[in-house]
Amino acid sequence: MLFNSLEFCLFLPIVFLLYWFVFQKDVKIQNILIVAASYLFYGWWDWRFLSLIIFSSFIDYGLGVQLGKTENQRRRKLLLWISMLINLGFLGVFKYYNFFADSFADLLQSVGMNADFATLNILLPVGISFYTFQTMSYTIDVYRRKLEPTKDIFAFFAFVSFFPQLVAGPIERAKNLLPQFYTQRHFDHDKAVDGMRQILWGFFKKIVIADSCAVYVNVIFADSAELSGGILLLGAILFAFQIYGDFSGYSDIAIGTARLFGFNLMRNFAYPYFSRDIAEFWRRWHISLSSWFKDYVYIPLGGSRGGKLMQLRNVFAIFLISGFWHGANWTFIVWGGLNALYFIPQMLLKTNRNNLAIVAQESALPSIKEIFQILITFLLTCLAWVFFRAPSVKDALIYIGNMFTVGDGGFQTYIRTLKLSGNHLIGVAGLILLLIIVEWIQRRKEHGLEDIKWPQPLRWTVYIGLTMLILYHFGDSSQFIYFQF
Amino acid sequence: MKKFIRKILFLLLLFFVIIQIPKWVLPPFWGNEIYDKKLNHLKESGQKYNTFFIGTSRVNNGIIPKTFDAEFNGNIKTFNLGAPGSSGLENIELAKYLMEHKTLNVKNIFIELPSLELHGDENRVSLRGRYYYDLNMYSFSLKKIFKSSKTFKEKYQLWSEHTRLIIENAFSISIFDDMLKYLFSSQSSGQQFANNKGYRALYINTKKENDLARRKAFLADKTILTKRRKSAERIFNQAKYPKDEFVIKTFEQLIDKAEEQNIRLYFVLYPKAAEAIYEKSRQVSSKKIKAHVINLASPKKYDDFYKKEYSFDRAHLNHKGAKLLTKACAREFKKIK
Repeated sequence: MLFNSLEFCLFLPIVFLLYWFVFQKDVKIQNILIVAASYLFYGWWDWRFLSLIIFSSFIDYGLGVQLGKTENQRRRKLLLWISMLINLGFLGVFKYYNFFADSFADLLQSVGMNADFATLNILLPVGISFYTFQTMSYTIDVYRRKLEPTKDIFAFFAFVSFFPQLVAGPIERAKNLLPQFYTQRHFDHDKAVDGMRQILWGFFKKIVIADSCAVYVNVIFADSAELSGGILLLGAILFAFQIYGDFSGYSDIAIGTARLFGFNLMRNFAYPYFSRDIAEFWRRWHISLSSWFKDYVYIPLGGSRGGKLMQLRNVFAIFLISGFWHGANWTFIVWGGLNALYFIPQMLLKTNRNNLAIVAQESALPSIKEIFQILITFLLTCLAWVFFRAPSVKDALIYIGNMFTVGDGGFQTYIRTLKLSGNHLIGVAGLILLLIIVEWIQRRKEHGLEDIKWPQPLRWTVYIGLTMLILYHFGDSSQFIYFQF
Repeated sequence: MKKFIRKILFLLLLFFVIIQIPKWVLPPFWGNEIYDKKLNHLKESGQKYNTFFIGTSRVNNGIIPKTFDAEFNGNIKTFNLGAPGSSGLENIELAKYLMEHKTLNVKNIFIELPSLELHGDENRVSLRGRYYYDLNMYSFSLKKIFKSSKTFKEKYQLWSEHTRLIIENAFSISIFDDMLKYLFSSQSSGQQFANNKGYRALYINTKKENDLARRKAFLADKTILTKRRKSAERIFNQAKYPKDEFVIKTFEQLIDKAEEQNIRLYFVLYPKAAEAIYEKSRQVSSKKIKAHVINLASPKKYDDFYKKEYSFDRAHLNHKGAKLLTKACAREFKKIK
């Protein structure tokens, strides 16, 4: 079920009312309702893949219980390995099998050997990378004795399948989310109101910003070999806003929905395009994934300890794995590698922790230097996004090559061929500007509509205005990009 | 909790009321450009016309008002209200609109025998396929679904499609932008739709790109006319068909409504339609309806319509064929008189 679907508009109030009015007395029953609702939410897409979530939940629940029972280190390690093998095995089969088969065949062919591996017609289960990482974090934390294994099977199943964040995160840590399923939830009016605001802001980012940009991005990337200069730059910039609106919009809807049910999910985006350097960008973009890799990959590898070579290896490892996590395609690996290259100079110069607080913390506007830094960082990320969006590395290189050619590539004619008026593009630019202004004003807060202190009539006018904008754009709405990961 | 729900409900209500404002301002057939422009023309023409043909492109391209009028020595003034791709449900609404519109001088309505189903998926999500869908139509559709002999699964599927449509329309989901565009952009006069009294001719030597493509596809398929004729023959020769009592009742109510207003209403079956349309037409047979059906589709009686000479493409007649069809329709109408 998509958040931006009519089914979800009916599903959410029904589950909400059952949760608070029918099953509010018993936390266990509430958890069972969450599991049932989450399975319905997921099964709406394809019920067959529910078996994967159920199996994965059973395995990690059982292994957690076993880890709690034994002090034998070898046995504990074995249990951890079983969890890793099963979870990563699912990912390997469903997400990466064809990639490895094709890449190995290409490699053999390049040295003159012929190999014909059968590629499988595998359907990628929605959100597999998200819930797999979430269950793995539980088993790792239990193994590291940072978390007590749970004996409450319904709480655990609800933790793995919690519908707001099941298919596209934020990837929750068991330490944060699981204990919330143990305790009685009480309805908190302010929290619920804030949740609704965050949902509204998330829909605005997804349906108004991301889907409007997608109209241009899809055609510009499809015809990139024929285009040049300005229009390709425009395509890359619009994609930057599309992917931000799409993914951070999803995260806002997920976090807001969870708040309606009394849960606090971790923040996933913190205005990344206001970052002054790449290190800051990565502290603000997809925070739940970056911190997952930091906790479970980067630090175990040695982190920033050890010699320069070791540090370089660790940085490359985390960025390449992060790229590969996004999809079985060389484009994502190159995207990760490019970001590593952006990051390394900062690490070597030890400037990667220079900008920890949000820009212009004490002032209304950024300084000239900060504006310059923000623009440079944004353009660097746009360049990297080209690899993320292009169908192949070759296409991305052609795109970037053509981007630096002179001329507007027949911009006006091209816009006309899209059957869109010049006013449409100005409208999209206006909406992006609105997003930037609102998020700039709210940059010290969690989301674009948090804690607005205006008089009620004005606030309600804003809510209704935003809802109308969302309705205006609803017809072109599409699936969330991050579902494919 | 109650405060929260009250706030949400109030906001929703406020929003719902605001979202209805464009609907109050919009004309009834705003989402179908052809109907909208043709009705505008009718308004401007006062009581100039008294006979109206409603239906799809088969009507739009098949009935020539001038030819029809010539058969009746000036007593009949015809206007062709046909619109390509219009749906049966929409056409029934248009017929009711004409009957209820007292400023028009309506004496005769010929409505293409409609299939009272929703459009296919592709059309249903388009503005043309859904703008007219309101609560009345929803309740009508649900009654039809639950009284039909479909399986539970089929009924559920149809119920969910109709429910989705009514919720989306109630909140103007996906059509809000079209509403605003209609209200705030300058509307063209649409005179081209009213030219030739609403008839649009299909000439075999056409230069129009869309028409040309259809014509080429038709000429490339040598067997299509034979297929269409055979399927029509098979259906019209079959002695018995199960009856769709709900549609029968609906049509009979429409006939009664017309009679109350001294309007003569006829359901017309046009040639070369798809098999499913004829099958549905056979399911709505009753003594009362039979007296109000003009069948121009039977190959046994009207073999010419299935000949290449009179065809433009697989489903439409050319201008020459339209002349023949219009005269045939007039003849059948005279017989009833």
